[in-house]
Amino acid sequence: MKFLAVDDEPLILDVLKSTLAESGYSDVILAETAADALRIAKAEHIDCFIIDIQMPVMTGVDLTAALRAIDAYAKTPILMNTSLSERHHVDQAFAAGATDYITKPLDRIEFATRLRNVRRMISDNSMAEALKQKSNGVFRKAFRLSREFPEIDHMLEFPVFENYIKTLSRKNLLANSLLSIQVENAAKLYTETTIKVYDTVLADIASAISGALSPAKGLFTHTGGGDFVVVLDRLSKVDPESFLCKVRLAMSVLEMDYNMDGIPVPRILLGKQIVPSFFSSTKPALLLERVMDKSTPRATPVVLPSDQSLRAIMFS
Amino acid sequence: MNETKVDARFSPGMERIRLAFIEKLAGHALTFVRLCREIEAGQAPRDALREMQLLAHRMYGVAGSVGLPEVGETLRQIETKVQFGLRRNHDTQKILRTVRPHVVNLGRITQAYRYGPR
Repeated sequence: MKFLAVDDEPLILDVLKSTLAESGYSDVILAETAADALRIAKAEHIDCFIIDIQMPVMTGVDLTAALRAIDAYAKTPILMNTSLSERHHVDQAFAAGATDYITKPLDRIEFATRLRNVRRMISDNSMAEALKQKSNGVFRKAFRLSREFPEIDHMLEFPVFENYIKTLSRKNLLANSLLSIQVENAAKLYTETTIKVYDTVLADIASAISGALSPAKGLFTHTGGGDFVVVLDRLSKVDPESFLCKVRLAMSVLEMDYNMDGIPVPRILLGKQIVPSFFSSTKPALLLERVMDKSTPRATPVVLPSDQSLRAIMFS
Repeated sequence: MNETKVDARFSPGMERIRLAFIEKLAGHALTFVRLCREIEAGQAPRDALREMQLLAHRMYGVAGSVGLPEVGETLRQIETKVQFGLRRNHDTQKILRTVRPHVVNLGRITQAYRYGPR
């Protein structure tokens, strides 16, 4: 357990360090100013703060408020170190986010009790955090799961699609290109709606992609989250931008329904496009990985096509 | 009583702090005397009183923590009397009259701690 003790009186800091050491806590950082404390708190992870209320320039109350503004310290125990004459500041300190207070002169029995409370609090916080992580894990897992909509033409389950890509011969691979279609606000959609609504929106997008593929040859899959990968037949000469416009056009019909139902309107972007080269010896599986890799997404400005271009796309 | 001798009640770490505090206290006792003189001479007396209050406040927290309750109590008297006088906007000389006995007492205790009773 790492402590950060803040006091403008070095001897008080020494007293705190020594008392904590006697209680078995040797990991104690000392700071004589609030500015130093903030710098240290940002550089290291602190489990408990002990802060003097009355300090020059930035008071302990202000420091507490500043620490609470940092996400990592939203629930970290903050003990205010105060003397009797400062009791009127204690309310301010609690309002600013202090957890508890200890009094000067330091009473070892009282201090030990406070430390026990701190330990309990940290343990409770860790448990809550662990549960949160666990539920986040479930969220991520569920969110990242690929969906399948068997009723939609050209769509394959992800494992089937993966196998399909892997088994493509070099000749067939060269005849195709891989295109990634991303739903930028998929996570928001997932968190702000029900699973059923989320799946319905994904099915709408899948249907739009399927429609955009016709009559060209091609297959696609949902790889998880808001990501789709499309295999386009290069011979059909489908331009990715036009493909995206078709998908967006199909989705724009549903926009009003989404708005009426309070569902976030999916923002569909063009991801990467991988065109296998004759001279490249990249394996199909790696091509799939590359097109799914979002670390260097292709930025496409969201520009709605003009009526004229839409007509041209639709009747081409 | 010669408190600068090692006190077995304290851990070595705390004992070191206690001895450092006693050393520091001697310097602070002189600062209190200087501030009293400034107040008496009317040299920015309110600033001097605020400095006195702050110094007493800081040292009070340490004194009690290192097992010097008598020093702690004297410093608390200085702090609260100055604080009370300043809050009520009392005349600085009047505040000084309430504080001076405690400053004298602090000097006496400090001497005793450092050199033993005379």
